[in-house]
Amino acid sequence: MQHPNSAQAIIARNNVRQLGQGPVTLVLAHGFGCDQSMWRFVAPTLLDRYRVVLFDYVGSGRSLPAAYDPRRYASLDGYAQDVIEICTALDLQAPVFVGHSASGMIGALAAIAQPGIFSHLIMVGPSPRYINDPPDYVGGFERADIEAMLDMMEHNFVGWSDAMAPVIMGNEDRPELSQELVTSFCSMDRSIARRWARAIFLGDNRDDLPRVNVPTLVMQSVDDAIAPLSVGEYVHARLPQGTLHVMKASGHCPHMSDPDEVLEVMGAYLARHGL
Amino acid sequence: MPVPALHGNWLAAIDQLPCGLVQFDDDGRLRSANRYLRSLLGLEPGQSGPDSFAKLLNPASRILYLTGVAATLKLRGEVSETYLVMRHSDGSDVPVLVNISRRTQEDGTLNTAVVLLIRDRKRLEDELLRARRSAEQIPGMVFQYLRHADGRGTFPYASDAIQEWFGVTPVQARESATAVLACLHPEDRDAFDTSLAHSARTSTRWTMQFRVRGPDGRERWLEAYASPQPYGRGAILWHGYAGDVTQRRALEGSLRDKEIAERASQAKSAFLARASHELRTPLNAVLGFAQLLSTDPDLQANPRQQRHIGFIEAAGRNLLELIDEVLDIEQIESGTIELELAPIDVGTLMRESASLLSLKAAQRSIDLSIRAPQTILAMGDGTKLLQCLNNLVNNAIKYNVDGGHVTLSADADGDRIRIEVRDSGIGMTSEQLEHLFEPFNRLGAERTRTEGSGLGLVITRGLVQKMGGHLLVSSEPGVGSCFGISLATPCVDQSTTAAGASGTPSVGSAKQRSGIPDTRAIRAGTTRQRHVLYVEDNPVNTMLMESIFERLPASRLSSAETGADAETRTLADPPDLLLLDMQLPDTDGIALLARLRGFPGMREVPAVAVSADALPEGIEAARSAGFSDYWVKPLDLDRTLGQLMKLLSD
Repeated sequence: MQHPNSAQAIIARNNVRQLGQGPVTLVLAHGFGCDQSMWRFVAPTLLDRYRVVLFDYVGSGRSLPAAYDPRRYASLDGYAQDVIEICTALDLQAPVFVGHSASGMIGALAAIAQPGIFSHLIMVGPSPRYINDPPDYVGGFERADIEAMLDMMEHNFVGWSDAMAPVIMGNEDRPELSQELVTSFCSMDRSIARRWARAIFLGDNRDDLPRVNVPTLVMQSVDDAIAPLSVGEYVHARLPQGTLHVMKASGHCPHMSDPDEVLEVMGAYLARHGL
Repeated sequence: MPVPALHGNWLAAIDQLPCGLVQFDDDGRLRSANRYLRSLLGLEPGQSGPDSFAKLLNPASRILYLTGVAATLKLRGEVSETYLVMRHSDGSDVPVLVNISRRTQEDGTLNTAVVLLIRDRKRLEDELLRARRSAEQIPGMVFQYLRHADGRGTFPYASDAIQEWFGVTPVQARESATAVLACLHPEDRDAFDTSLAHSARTSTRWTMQFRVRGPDGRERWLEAYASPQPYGRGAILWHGYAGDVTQRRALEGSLRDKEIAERASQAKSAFLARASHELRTPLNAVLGFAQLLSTDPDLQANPRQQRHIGFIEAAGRNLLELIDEVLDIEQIESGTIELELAPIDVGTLMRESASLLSLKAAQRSIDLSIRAPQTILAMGDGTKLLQCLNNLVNNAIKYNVDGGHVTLSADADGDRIRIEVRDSGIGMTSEQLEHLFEPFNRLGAERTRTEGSGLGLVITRGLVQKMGGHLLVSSEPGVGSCFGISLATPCVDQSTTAAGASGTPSVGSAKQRSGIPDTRAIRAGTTRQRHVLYVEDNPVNTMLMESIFERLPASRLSSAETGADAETRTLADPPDLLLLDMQLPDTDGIALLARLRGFPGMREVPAVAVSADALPEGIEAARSAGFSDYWVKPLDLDRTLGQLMKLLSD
C-alpha cells in the first residue's frame, strides 16, 4: 500500500499539476466554491515565464474526497498543511504562492507554520474574517447570513455542483493545453463543501496577519461583494510587508472576469521583486 | 401541424411573461429586467436601485453566487436550476430558481437569467433539509441500499457517516457500493452476502453485526438493520440504519469474560470442596487406625513399630492440615468465609495460643513470653484470630534459632489494637519479603528440614483483612521478624465479650491432644449398656468406629449401611445416640434424622453428624436440622472418645 504521506499520494490526493518551465514557480490556489479550473484564464499566459503548479483542495475538483478528515480540515490550518505537503512533495524551492479568496489566508497560515516556504505571497480578494465585529471591523456579513448560505448550499448541491461531470475544455489559443486543463467546473463534494464553508466563513484569522513575514501583494477589486475594499485595506494595514493594489476590475473573481489586468498587476509586482 | 416560429412584437411579449427575465454583463452590471422581475422585487422605473446582479440577491445568496455560481457560469456558459434568494426593495426575501445562459455577441458578453418564484417549493425543500439534517445528526448511518437485478449495488442515499466509516462520499456511494463493501472484514463477507440474500428472498428485515476497516485504518463493529422493498425489474431497495457498536461489543466481551471467570471460580470452589471431601474419607481410616495402633497395648513393647506408626500419623496430620489450609484460602478468596465479629479479649487468646505451642517451644529451648494488659479488647472473630495467632507463633518458633525468644504483645494504638509476634529468628531479606504472601512460596525454606506448606501467612493475612484489620511485617536477616495484627477496638456499648475460641465446631484437625480419657468413669457410672447406632456406608469407617467403641465397654455399637437399614434397626432396637454420616446411598443424614425423629421414643435422642464435608454451609445446615454436634472426618481419636463419653454419660 502507498504510504499516505508519500509524494505520489499527495499529488493524487490534491490532483496536483505542474505546467511549463521557468526558474520561478507560481503555486496557484483556488478559493472556496471552485477548483483549479478557475485559473484557466491566466495560467496559459503565466506559462510563458513561469513554472505553474495547480491543485484542488480535498473535496474540490478532482481531488480524492476519501482523503477528507473532518478533524484535520476543521480549520484552515489543515488546508495550510496540505499546501506545505504539496510544496515538499514537489520539492519546490521558495515558490510564489498566489491564493484567491480563502486561499489568501491559507497561504498566510502556511507561511507562518513553515517560515521560508514561499518567497512571496499574492492574495486575490482575501478576507481574514467575513463576519462583522462591531464597532471596528466590517467583514461584510452577519452570522445569520453565513448560516443562511450554508442552508442554501445544501439546497443547491443536488442540481449544481454534484451533477456536473468533468469535461475537457477546448482552448483555441493554446490547443496544447487542452489536455492539461481538464476542468471539472468547480465541482465540490456536498458534505465536504459545507464543512469547508464553515471553516472559512465562520473563522477569524485576523491575528495571524502580523505574523506573516513574507512580502505580500494584496490584489483588491474595486467592488468585491465578498471582500469589500475596507477588508483589503485592513489586511494591508496588519501585514508587516504588505503591498495593496486596488484594481479597476470589479467582482470577487478578477482573474476570471479581468484576467488581463490581473496578469499585468501580478507581472509588475513580480518584476519589481526581480522574479 | 408544425409549431410556428417566432413572429410579431417579442419585446412586448417578453415584458408580459409570467416569469422574471434579467440581463447582465460579465462584470455583473445589469442591462435590463422585464416587468415581472421589477414587480417581483419592487423596483420602480426611474428610481435608483441595484446596479449589479449580485446586488439583487440577499447576502447569503451573494456569497454563493460570487464564489461558485458566477465562476461556473463563466467556465461552463450556463447554470441551471440554481436556488437563490433575491431581495425585495422592502428588505424581504424572495426565493427564486434561476437558469442563466452566457452568450458572446459582437457587442460583448451578455448573461440572460430566467427567474421563477418558488415559495411553495422552498417550503418543501426546507422540510427536506430539516429531515436530512436530522438524518445526519443521528449517531450512525442512515442509508438506502439498492441491489439491481444484475447484482450491482448502490446507495441511493447515505448520510455523512459513510464518509467517516468507509472513506466514500455519499455521491460516490450513489454511483457504486463497491468501495463501501470493500471495507468489510474478509471473514464477515460471506455471512454478509448470505444474510442479505436471505433478507431479499424472504422479504424479512436484515440484521447483522459485522466488522469494517475504514480509511483511518480503524476496525469498527457495525450493527445494521434494514427492511427490504421490491423496487421493480428484480431490484430490491433496503431502507436501513447502521450504528457503531464497537464499544458495546467490547463491554459485552468483558462481561462475558467476567462471567466465564465467575463460572470458573465456582467450578474451582466445587472442585476443592469435592477434593477435600474425598481426601478426608481415606484420611479418616489412616489417622484413626494409626491412633488406635499407637495406643494398642500389644505394640507398646515395640518402640520401632511405635515410631513407624508415629510417622504415619504425623504424615496424615500434615496432609489434613494442607487440606484445611487450601479450603481456607479458597473460602477467603471466594468471599464465602463467614466471620462473626464481636469484642474479644486479645490477652486470653494470646495466652491460649502460647499454652498450645509451649511444648513445641520448649523442645527447642525457645522462651515464649507474653506482654499484655489484663484485658484488652479488639473487634474480631475469636476462632479465626486464634488461628492467626497460632500460625504466627508457630512460624516464630519454626523459623527461630534454638534457645531463641518469641514475644507476644498487645498494645492500644490510637483507636486500634496492635498485636505483635516478635521472634529472634533467622529473619528475611527484602527480596524474601516481596514474595512473602505468595501461596506455596516458602522463600527457600522448602530446601530446609522445616516443615510447612507456604499457605499459613496467606490465610492469616486473608483472615485479618476479613476482620477489617491489617497484617504488618518487618524483618531483618539474622535479627528476627515481627508480625503485627492491627484490629479495630470495639465501640463502647459492645461490652459483652466472647471468651476466646469457645463454641467452635469440633473439627478433627484440632491439634491439641488431651491424653487418653479415663473410660472407667463410664463403666462405673452407668448400669445399663447404652446403645449407639452408627449409620455409615464406608466399611472401613465403620471398622474404625467399632475399634473406638472397644474402649467404651459401657456402650454397644450397632451399624447400618443405608437409611432403610437404619430405620429397621431403630424400630427393632431404639438407640440412645445416633451417629449419622451425611451422605448415604439412599438418602442423606438430614433427611434420615427427620424420619428417625418420628419413631417412638426417638424425639429427644441426641444425634451427631459425622461427615467429611468441612464446609461451613454443610455444618450450619446440619445444626439447624437438629444435630447436636458435627464431627468432621478424619476423626481425632482422643477427642472423639472424650465427646462420646460426655454424650453417653448425660
